[in-house]
Amino acid sequence: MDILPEIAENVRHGEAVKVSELVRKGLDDGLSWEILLNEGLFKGMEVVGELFREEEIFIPEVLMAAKAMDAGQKPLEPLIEGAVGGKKMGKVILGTVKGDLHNLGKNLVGVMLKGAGFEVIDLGVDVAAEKFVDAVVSGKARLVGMSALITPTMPYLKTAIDALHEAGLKGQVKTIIGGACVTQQYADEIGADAYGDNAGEAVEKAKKLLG
Amino acid sequence: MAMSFMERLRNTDDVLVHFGPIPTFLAAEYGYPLEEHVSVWIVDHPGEFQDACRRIYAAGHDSVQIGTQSASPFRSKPFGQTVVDRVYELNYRTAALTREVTHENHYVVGIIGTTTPDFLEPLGNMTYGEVYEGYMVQIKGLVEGGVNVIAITGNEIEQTEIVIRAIKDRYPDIPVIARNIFYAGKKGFRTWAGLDPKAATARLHETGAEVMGAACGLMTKSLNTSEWYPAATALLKEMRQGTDKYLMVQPDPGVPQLINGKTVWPVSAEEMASEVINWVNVGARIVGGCCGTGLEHGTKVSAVLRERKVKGV
Repeated sequence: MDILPEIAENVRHGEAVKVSELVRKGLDDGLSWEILLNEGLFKGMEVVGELFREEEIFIPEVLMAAKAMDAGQKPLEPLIEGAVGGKKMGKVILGTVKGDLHNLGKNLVGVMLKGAGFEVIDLGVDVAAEKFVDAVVSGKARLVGMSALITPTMPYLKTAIDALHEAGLKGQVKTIIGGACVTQQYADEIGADAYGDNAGEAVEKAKKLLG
Repeated sequence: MAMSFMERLRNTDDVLVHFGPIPTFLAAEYGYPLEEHVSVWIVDHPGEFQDACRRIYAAGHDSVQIGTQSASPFRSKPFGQTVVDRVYELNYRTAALTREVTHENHYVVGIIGTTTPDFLEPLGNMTYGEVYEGYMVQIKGLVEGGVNVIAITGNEIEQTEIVIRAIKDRYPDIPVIARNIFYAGKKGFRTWAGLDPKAATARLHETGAEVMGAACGLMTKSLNTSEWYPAATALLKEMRQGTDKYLMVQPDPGVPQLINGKTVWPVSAEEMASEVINWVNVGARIVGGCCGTGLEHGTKVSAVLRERKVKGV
């Protein structure tokens, strides 16, 4: 099935139009949405993740690949919706904490997580603790990823984690934090389950936490 | 004798000491909350801002970067349309406030930040025209408010190029300091988009900007603070391969840590003072620090440079 490596290759190179065409062709040729998604699109993003971790490609390439992956997922969406357990890796809530408007790192993490098969709900920036809690409850999420880029907003990571624990969600959901000034030590101090130094590492740790 | 910024660079061999981090300085000393829009805060607290500028000059700095990096329509957007509508006014008033307390042979440096929530097409949704027109409002405010120089720092080099085009089109007499942000990685220094210092600097050289620089960024992933500023020297050497124009360097004093509720910037003024001559020897004519750098860094560095001038080294 040559079309699958071709899809992966075009995702890697950010060729959104080509990816969309190939996915449609794949469906016409009788391939299942699972194979096209996992062996085509996600395989492409897996390569992107590795290359990004190795610093062979950089943020612009990752963002273009993400667009290509999204373009490829569109024709599959109606089929995925109808199926049971479509996103096998589970649901992840992402957000930048209250008072903080930075989003690039969080967005990259979202891109990588989607590419690894997670279902990502991005709450955006300036997110209050209650909003994280509500999203975890309503989404039955298994992982929350929180970002704080500047030192004044870092303490809110603890506020949000405490709120999740106080809401009795400690057993249901794991927490992973990130941000330029955040460290493993800080994560340990505030009771986060994991710390991601960059988007690639975040995905690896997410897989370990939920595996 | 009063000299313009470019006369100072061309007709003397002076090295200018520049103060970069108005926002972190205002946060540390005057209670500015970092989550708020710094230019709105400055315009609401003119007394505090001018006091800060006076102290910065008194500490030995030749130029002040006036903290307008968020006062573009693009970076103001998350704060609401009311702030976006105030872009001209915020830049004008900040420049004017600084001008009032700036004396002869000191320079008001407007700063435009090209790291934005969105990106230029095709990565994002910003168009060339929108970017050109949007930054022109900011540029107009800065120039009419009285800046001597405009510096530009940001991740998206294409936006920086557009800003410089706009300045050269409308205000060709305003000198431009064009800066990249570099991150130390597995293969050495790279910009956010993967350009090495020689290539990134050469790109900016082509714009016609008068000074090429580097600001912010990650100098090294090592936790050894004594390696930080020497890494900036290595960066400058690579940048020098991309241009023969004046160079500028402005690194943060390390990566900030939150320790017992306080923000601590790990790399000291002494460490900067002990490395600055190496920067000058590579060709830096303007030196300073970015976010987190204190007055003491500038005081120690200007003392070293004065001594060098006296010795004629």
